[in-house]
Amino acid sequence: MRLPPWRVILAGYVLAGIVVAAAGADWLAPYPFDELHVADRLHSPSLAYLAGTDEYGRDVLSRTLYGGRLSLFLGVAATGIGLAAGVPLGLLAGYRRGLLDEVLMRALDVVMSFPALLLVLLIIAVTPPGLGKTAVAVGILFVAPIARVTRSVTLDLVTREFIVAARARGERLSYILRRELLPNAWPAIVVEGSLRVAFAILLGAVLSFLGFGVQPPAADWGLMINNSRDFVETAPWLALAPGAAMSLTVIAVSLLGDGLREYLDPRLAYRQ
Amino acid sequence: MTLYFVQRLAAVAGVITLMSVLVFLATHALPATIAEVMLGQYATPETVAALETKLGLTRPLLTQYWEWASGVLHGDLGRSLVMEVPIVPVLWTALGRSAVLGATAMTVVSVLGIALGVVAAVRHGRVIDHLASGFTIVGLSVPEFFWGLLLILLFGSYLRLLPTSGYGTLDKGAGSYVAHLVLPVATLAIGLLAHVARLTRSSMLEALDTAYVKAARARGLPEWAVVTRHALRNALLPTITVLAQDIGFLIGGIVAVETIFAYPGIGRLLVYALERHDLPLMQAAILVLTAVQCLANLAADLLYALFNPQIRYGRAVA
Repeated sequence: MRLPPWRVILAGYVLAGIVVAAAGADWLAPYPFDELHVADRLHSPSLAYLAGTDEYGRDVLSRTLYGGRLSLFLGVAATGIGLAAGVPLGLLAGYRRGLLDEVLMRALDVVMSFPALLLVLLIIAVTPPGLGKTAVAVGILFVAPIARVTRSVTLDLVTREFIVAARARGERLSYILRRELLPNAWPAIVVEGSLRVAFAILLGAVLSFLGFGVQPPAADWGLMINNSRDFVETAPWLALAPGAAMSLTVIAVSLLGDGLREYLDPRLAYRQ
Repeated sequence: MTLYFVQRLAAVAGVITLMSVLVFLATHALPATIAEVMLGQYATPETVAALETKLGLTRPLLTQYWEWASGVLHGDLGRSLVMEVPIVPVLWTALGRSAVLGATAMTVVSVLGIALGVVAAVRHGRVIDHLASGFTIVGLSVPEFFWGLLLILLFGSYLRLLPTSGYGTLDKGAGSYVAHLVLPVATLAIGLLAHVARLTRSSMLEALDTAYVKAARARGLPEWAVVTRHALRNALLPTITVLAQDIGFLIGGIVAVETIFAYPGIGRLLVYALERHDLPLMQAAILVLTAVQCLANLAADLLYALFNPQIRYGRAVA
């Protein structure tokens, strides 16, 4: 068993640190995320406020930690929805082929030819904004690419002996999909899933930045960066903590995804 | 080739039609009606009914869609509810400004991205390759709006070199016009640059490893000729597809970038429409942006076919 490259291990640790920091915000954050310190408005970073305070005197570090929960939740929830629908669809299409496969793939072609952000904006536009709904909208968007990846792995697998054997034993469809195909398609799905998490965090941040995501007084990283725009000259630190947290998270997730891909796919490893 | 072209054109028409149905339905099939959304907290059954009658929302859905769609086909996108003017001229002006932004960014991305990818591949494993890889990872991971903010901070607040918001009209001089474009274009280009550079690098690495490149080297051709004429020409094929895909990202990016830099293009117009629940304007903007992306995909497919002999001679019609 070879070890993953150090980059991947490092990315894993960074990501674990971010998740722990966001999950433990109740204990780690020096202040509640919405506590006002009116005397210390727009305070630059100091010992009392490590990342400074915003225009209401709220601690930027605490808000970044709590905001991390929302951003990470969005990434995981949206990817979860995409996986829950996309993986079964992809397995079924790849295994059964025929009309179902044809219809499904054409439908996915259509979905994927729309600009992603527009489709989500369209869903969000006409109903009141909210984190849960954003997660669902992004999740629906993810069904197509996840189904496509799953299908292409499945197409490779269906001709293998163990699938032929299972079919010869007269196993039921659900058994073949869940017990034979899924465990073998898993590595590719994990890689795709991790890249989707990064993409969802970015997309969620853009939506919040545009004002169609999380609503105040709660704030995820995108909304915090949006709020900082008015103070870019006087208080540039407002954007730094959430921006750094978001960039670090996405870099870690993408490095992890890319590393896992190389690690799990021996063909790529040889090409390096 | 002709058959292929016709097939692709039909597919594009199909996608645009479908999006028009989606855009139309999204505003009708959702739990809150348009009138309720527009009226917000002032929505009472009476005001909602009155507004619905005024907007013609009480008629059958199919009639409404037909009226809207045939209007679109005749170049009439309706009137904006908030601005109370016909949408087409407004949208057209905004689209033009965005096109300048997008086309400049795409040019920068194509030239610099391909160059960076080629250099990284040729210097595979050296310092410049690692630097380029680092840049690609960071460039792809940091969203446009954060780049935009950093650039504003650096060039606007500290160096005071460039304007950080607005649009320089040509009558105020070409200098102002160009200056207002620099930061938005740079912001848009960074992420895409990373994407294109990464792909060009990997397809160049593959091309440099092929028999025809070894043969060219063995014939004693100078290295630059091997790289540009033999390897690059073949490595560019996937890059063309990626450049077209990137137009999709660009459309997403334009919405964020125009918002940060207060650039009055179609992205900002869309956000404006969404914020004010101006549904006709929103429908029009989304439809036009979708059409732009579909046409970009079409152009990419055709270019790909043009450069790929297998498709050009009709062996693989997909």
